[in-house]
Amino acid sequence: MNDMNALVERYHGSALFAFVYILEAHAVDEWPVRCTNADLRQHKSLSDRADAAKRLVAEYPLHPMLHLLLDNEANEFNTTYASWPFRYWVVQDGVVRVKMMPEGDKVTLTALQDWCAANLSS
Amino acid sequence: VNSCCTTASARPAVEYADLALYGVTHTQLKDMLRREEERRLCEETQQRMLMEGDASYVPIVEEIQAQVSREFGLDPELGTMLLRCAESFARSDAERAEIIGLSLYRRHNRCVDGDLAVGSPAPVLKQALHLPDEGLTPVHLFDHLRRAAVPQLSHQNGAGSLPLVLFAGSWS
Repeated sequence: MNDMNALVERYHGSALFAFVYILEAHAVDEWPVRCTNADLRQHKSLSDRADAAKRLVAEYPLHPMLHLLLDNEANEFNTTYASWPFRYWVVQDGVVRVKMMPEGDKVTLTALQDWCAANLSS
Repeated sequence: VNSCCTTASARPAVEYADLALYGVTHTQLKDMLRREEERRLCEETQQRMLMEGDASYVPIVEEIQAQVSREFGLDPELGTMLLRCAESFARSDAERAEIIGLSLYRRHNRCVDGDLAVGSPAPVLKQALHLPDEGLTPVHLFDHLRRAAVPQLSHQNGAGSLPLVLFAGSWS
């Protein structure tokens, strides 16, 4: 989260940023992994999702220019943008410019940092 | 961030491979999967993950798969491969579904690459997303971001052409 916030701080004058809260990756009633320190059940409603998102930002505050949104009950963002458990995208002029892909068993912001450095003014 | 991106439906190179080549029966393989599930979910494992932190997930899972392999008299490398590719040894679609159902990391794995690639048109969602406010206000993703940005970007010619950086995830 710190790395995301740092990126937003650096580039918020030249790009728009959002964090879309989607289905839990490791809900305790599905695929528990206690090391995530989140004892959240899978959302059964939009209200559940809002509660989970509020817990996230209470623990890890988002940069004010990183706009928090909730995926809808149909999980349409995740279905359309294939993001679970975590992904980032860059969209410009209606075209996908960056799609994060895992690097081995890791997820990093490297591709996004590289794209921002090459295309945005800080 | 933990990787859990081994796509559940990913098929290995050989579809419906012959399990007998490895000297293992389908019953044994399913028992191995059940044992792996039991070990992953047990309090001892969950407590270890909590104590050892985020980076411990993959090593702990690898350790469990090796231990299960040994319990069933298999070389850990072979046993781990069988566990990870179990669905490819199914003899029917019904058995494949059964095998997927035996492992939480298969039945709850929603990880897919999706159809979008760099250069694809970015789809506009049909339904609204929501703000996490009391009223769960519905908003349209791209419109909302551009409107929200206008006060901060008033020196520019609107926010319409600005790139949109979208992170998607959850706390867990």
